[in-house]
Amino acid sequence: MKFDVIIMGGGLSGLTAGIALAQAGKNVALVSAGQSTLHFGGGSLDLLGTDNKGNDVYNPIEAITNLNPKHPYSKLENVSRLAEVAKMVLERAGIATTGEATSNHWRISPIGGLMPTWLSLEGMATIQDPDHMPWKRVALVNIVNYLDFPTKFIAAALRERGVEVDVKAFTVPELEQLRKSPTEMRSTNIAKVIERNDIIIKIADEVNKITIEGYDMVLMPAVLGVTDSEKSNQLLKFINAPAQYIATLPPSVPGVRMQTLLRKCFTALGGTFFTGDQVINGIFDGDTLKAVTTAKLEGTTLEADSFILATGSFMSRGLVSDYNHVYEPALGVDVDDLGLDRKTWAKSDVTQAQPYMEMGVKTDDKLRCQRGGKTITNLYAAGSILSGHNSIKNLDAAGVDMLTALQVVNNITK
Amino acid sequence: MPCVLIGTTSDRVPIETCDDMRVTPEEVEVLLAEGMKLAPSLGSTRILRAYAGVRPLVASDDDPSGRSISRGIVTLDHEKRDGLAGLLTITGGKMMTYRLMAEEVTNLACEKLGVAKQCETATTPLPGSETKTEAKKTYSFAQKAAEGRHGTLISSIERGDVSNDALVCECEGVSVGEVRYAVNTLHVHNLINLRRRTRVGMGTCQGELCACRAASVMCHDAESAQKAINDLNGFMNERWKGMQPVAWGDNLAEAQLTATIYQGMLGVNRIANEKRIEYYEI
Repeated sequence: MKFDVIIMGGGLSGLTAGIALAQAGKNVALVSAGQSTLHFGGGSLDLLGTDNKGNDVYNPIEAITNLNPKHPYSKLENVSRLAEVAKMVLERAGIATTGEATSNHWRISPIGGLMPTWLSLEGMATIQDPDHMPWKRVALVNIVNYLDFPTKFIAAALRERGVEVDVKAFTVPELEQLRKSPTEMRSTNIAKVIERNDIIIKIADEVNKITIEGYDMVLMPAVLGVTDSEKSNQLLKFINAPAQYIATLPPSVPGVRMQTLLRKCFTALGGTFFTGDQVINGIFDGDTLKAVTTAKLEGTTLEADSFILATGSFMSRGLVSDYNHVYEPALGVDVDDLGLDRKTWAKSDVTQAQPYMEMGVKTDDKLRCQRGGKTITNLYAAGSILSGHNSIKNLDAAGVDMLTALQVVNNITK
Repeated sequence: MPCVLIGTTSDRVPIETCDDMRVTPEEVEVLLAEGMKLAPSLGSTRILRAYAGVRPLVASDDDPSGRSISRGIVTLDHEKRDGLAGLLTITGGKMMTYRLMAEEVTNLACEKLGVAKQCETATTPLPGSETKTEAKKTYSFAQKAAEGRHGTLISSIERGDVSNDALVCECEGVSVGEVRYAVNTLHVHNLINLRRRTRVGMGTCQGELCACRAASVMCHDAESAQKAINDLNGFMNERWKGMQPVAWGDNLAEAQLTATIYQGMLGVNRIANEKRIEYYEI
């Protein structure tokens, strides 16, 4: 099978590249192992949340210029423009967001932390300025005994910032049924039960009953809308007071929704999606990659003019380590292990900046991979597999995923 | 899941550092190199964690250099040894032998006091280990797991309703009821003690989601939320303490995911305002 471009990895980075390439008229195939780190996201996308000193960033576009020159953002030609295109890709997929690349806002984490972020999905609770909370009186509404939305933590954090908070809980018979199995009360299962039984109005009635006192804001767990935002928007409309969502512990329903919509958009644009599969080998000819083989498509090679490696970092198995080495398992491209001995990959305090976080594949200024020290002219890397950044310390994961993917698309199509 | 424990190494620990034990890279190297001679697959197997502990060994009176140090239980009768009547020392043992130590010293004390009785610890069942009288019922995974931890005391764990049966930790089968039991009856007041009592956070994910759930269940009101978040932050560092010396392969991948959830998504480290790590670990 022959394509214009083959993308390895079906996370935020691979799907962003896939959609942009398909929009540009390219014949694209994407090979995805399955789960995406979007499932561990909070319904928001970060561009740059904290600087190298650990301070919150107010203007990401400005602060990006002060980053370490090894950061993947240094290989972007026009950060502002790419950030606009990223937002357009999301819109094209039916993912409505609020936020600006020149001005971070703050999301509320599942335990009440205020986290600086770039784009938030519609319906998610956001705060423009953490020093001035937008609400005086808030109802924090949970589903009875739903453990993955720790209201005590969120209430305490909001009260600490001067907001008056009443914690409430509701249930409906359909959710009671779900609770009978001790492992079933998880976000995506709740979403499925609510959507399958069409009980949005019933739930809105219950929420309205317990928030009758009149609140500036009703905050609820984001457990609606696995496939699209229709139901989650509906519920907000039926609630009498202004209402918004806060992300729950993983899996994140807004994150799952984002991946679903991006994937749908990619295939609707004519992209070919190989799911539950992974690239296991590359066929090289000198400094070009001719084709790849996958675990499941036995005896078939996938050929293309260009390839994008977007398989993620260690937790996505895009990078693999053993007792002594860090390597890239699909194609064996060169990895920057920072020249560190294994004993120094990780530091003893978990909250320190961990050196392993900055490991990734080596790329040239066009984001092309290397093999045995030689640049492969048609193999690009995008997203968190790139070396030189720490997405936990800089809160830049989604930005790196999307913007490097779009830069690679520019590099390929130019 | 079949698990293998390899060890131990033997090293001398200065008294100043015995409360802050850490696994050294050299110890990891030695155990893996030696272990692989017995089971070569050890080189590619996921290592969940590494831990270090310290035990007192007693040098005999005529060997102050400690060269012929004893690994057994040592009972010192200070009346015979130092002319100090009414004082006994029992030392040199470890967790495995604590009841035997108790027996030895109790019997000696009884003899000294002229009490004609033998210590009963060997024949008295520990709480929870009494013979079951009830007919065996079909238990859920969580109840079986809890029975393994608490024996017959499992009857004190509230269950049978959706609130108590909800699972906090899916790897180890820890229910909300078991967490409440540990807090109310076993004097557990932080996550590290909860782990000792229930194994919460000790499974293959090493606390990925259960730690936050458990912290929330243990936190009784919003007023103590800050304390609970500090506890959670400390607990995640304690989990990391055992992963860091063996952070490669699947373990490193898991550690990155956990850090992404707790620091990147939840921001635990941003909310915590004190660092409190208990170092004792068994």
